[in-house]
Amino acid sequence: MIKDKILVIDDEAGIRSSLKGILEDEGFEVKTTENGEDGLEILKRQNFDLILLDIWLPEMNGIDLLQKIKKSEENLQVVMISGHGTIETAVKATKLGAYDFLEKPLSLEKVVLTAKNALKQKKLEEENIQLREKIKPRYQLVGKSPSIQK
Amino acid sequence: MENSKKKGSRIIGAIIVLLIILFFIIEFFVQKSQEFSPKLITNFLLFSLYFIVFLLFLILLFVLSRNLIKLYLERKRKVVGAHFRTKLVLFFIALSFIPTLLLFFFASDLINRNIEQWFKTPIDKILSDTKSAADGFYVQSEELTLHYAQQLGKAIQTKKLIYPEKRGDLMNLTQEKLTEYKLDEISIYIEEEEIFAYLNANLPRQYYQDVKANIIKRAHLGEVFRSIEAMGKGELIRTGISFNIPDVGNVLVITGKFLPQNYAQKLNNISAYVQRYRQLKIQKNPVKTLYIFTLVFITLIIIFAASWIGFHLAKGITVPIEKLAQATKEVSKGNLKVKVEDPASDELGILIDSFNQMVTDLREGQENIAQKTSELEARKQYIETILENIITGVVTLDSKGIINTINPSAREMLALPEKNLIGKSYKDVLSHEKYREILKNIQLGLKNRYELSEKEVNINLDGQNTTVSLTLSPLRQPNNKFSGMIMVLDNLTQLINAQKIAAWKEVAQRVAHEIKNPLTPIQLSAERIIKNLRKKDQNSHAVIKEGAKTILEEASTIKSLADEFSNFARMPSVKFESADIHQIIDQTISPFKGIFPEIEFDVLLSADVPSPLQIDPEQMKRVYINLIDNAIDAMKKKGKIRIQTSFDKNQQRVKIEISDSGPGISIRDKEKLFLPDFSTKKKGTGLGLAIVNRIIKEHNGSIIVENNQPQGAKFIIQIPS
Repeated sequence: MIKDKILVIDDEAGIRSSLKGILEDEGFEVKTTENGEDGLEILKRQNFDLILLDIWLPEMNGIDLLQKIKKSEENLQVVMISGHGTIETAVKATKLGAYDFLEKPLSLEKVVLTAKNALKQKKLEEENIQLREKIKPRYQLVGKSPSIQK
Repeated sequence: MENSKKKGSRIIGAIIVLLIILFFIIEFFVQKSQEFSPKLITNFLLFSLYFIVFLLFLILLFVLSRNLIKLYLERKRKVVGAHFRTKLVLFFIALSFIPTLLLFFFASDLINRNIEQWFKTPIDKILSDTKSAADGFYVQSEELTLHYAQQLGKAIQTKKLIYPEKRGDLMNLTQEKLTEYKLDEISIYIEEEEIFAYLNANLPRQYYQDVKANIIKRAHLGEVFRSIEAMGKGELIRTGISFNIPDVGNVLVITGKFLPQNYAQKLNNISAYVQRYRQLKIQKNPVKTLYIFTLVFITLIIIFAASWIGFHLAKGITVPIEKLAQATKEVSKGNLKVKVEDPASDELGILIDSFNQMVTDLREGQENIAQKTSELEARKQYIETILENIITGVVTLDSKGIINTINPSAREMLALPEKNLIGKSYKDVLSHEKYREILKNIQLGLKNRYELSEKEVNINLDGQNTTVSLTLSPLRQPNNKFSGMIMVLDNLTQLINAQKIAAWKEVAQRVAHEIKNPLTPIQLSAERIIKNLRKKDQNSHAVIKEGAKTILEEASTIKSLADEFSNFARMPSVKFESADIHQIIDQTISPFKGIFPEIEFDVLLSADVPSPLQIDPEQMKRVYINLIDNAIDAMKKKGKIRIQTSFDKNQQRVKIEISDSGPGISIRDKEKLFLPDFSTKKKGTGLGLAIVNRIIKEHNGSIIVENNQPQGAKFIIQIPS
């Protein structure tokens, strides 16, 4: 079985390491980085299934980064992490395509559950697309009567 | 009133003109009537003439005296122009009166004497002589014809020519004698029967009348026959002689002489002249009176005309003058709405026009001034209302420091209960110790006349600390002369309190965030440890160890955070002592130079800065350290730091500028820069600049941040010397 890949972007080393630990415990493949620029670089080189993204980052902030990510990779699921979880930031993030957001302090259970849900959702979406692709040709065969061909 | 007066004078004028016309008409009739009309009518006309003259005299006298009395009264009442008018009227009356009177006397004397002379000449005698001469002529003519009649009668008697047989001879003789005696008629009657008559061929025969029978009868009875009868335009004088011839009867011989028209007429005329003269002589006195009256009449008219002209002329001059004088009086009373209405076209007219123009200009000027004044008043009111109601305190002082205005907000802010502060010196009003700071600033402002803007001053009012922003601006007159100061006070207490609350809110938020940050790894690690403990696999030992390490790390972060906050709270208050600011700067920089070789320090210290200054050297050192630390961080340990000092003599302030060549500070960050716990550094506590701000504040100084040219940030510190 292929392990789902998760990228953690947070500027605090303590959070990065503890997230990596608990997610690896759950059997995911985890990579971490401390800023947005590096995160984008990594994304170019490697495919990920989920990103945990801190809203407050030095230089490029989390919302800007979310926009950039969604622009290049639509299918990538993003969960925002916020220390100042306000409604506005949450609404903005979800509008921009984030799947969910986690409020600090984080709890192990919630992080794991949210990550799993996000990945499940991603899989469903992918399956959906695949199924549609499969259905398409069938419908193309319908209607071979002379009148339609004209 | 004016109208009725005019009407009255018009009626009088009409009456006068009517009387004059009537006078001349009646006079004309009188002249004519003397020739033919009865005496009664003439007398009546003359009487009416007297009456007219008398009436006119009365009217003129009345008008004249009325005018003169009026003039006199006006003079007494001191009506403007009355003197002048009196003079002019009297002058005119005198001017006309003297020659007219002279002329009157002369003319009346002349008339008197002429009439006397006229009646003195013996026209009576001349006339009677002429009459008797004329009468004689008639008598003579009668006698002559009578003589011829007698001669003819004698001849008839002697020659006995009356008998019918000798009729031829008689006719011849008669004819002969008619020519011889140059008679115009010879007729012979027997008894009452005409025998024949011979007439001069030149006689106007159509007018011829036979001798009347009764006259013939009377002649036969012995009466002298004589008759004068009109014949055409002339007269026929007849005389006759009667004699008796026996057998034949009474014979009458008539001889006639014709007097042609002119002659008879002239004689008649003479008698008429005599008649009229007699009549005239009776009317001598009335005629004289008539002439005298005419003279009096004309004299009166002249005097009246002269006085009237005088009045009129005086009026033409004095009425405008009077009106002018009245208008001037009105103007002096303040009534500028007067206008002299006078259509005078002479120099007076120009004077009046100029006067009117002047008054109009004056009025316009005054109205202008009034308008400007009311505008100014309104403006003043407006400004006063604003001053009364704004929450900003406004105080104006003159150059000597006397309070000119102070609005309620200023009084309230400075807790000055006394209302009447205007006219007092600011030193007396603000003499209390609590105003020490504000007093010092005003003193400096008045002395140096510089502008001071938004200086924060603390006043301790009834134990409550009030922060006031003080702005001083010199007031200058239009000629740029210093005329005082305007002091604007804004109560900043509320604003500062609000800022404090906002700041503390943010601090609280920040502290929460700072605590939450290490909490996450702690919680996550703890939960992971618990989870792994349950699993008890090989890995769990390492996981627990790693988790515990993270928890310890984060706990120490929280501890250092708490330490720093308690340090900020426990920061010692400033201890002022004499110190050299340049020395402190040098001491601060030297350790940095060793640690950061890639940082270039550029220090420009001004010799003007007074030394020593009353400062806390330890705290000031901390200010520099913090600012330089920040600069080095911002420039990523590579760049240029410039430290410059200067001294502002006017404001007596030392200025220290610390600039770097880093990325600078965004506008958004500038606002919160000096609040506690603002940091762009993730790991910073955000207290550095807040500490700097607090130290500078305690030194009564200020710190601001600007953009450095060409790049970087520049912190400007100002502290009082």
